[in-house]
Amino acid sequence: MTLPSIDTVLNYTNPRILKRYEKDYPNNTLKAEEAFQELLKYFWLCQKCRTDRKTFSNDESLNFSVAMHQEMKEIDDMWHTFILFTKDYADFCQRYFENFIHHDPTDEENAPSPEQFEKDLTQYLSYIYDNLGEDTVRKWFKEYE
Amino acid sequence: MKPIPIVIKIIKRKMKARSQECCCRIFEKNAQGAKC
Repeated sequence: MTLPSIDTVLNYTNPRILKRYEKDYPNNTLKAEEAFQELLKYFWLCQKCRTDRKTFSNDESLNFSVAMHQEMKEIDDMWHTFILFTKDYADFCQRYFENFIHHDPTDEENAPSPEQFEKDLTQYLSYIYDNLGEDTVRKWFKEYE
Repeated sequence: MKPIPIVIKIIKRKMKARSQECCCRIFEKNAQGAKC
């Protein structure tokens, strides 16, 4: 598949999803438009990583989990909202990424060792930084000046 | 890998807090790395 430009993905809009998020999460810090933009960036990054892993199959630095961390909960709230609109979600995935983006809740089992966690997170944060910039790293991990 | 200050700062914070929990992730066949 050809990875779309991030601007192409960020142009996707869906007022019904924004309205539902505002209704379900009125106390979230991230407002609907911003949460949706960050979610679209997350989807794009996941697909970019998927593409890079195919292209650079021996690159060990790409062996990390593209996860929603605790600090990204409000972006994850938007993902949950998007999934409620199953047809819109499926159409979006197919149109931009040519495959369905499944949502995988995590469990307590198989927790990584601290060393593995640190390595994984370092690679993940560096990848976000390289592809989406420092502002996105700060926003997703709530690291403000 | 070239050290990135903001990355180092977040890693330190999260390792100190042991906040290893994550919410969700993309489902990947043969996923590599931490399942958190």
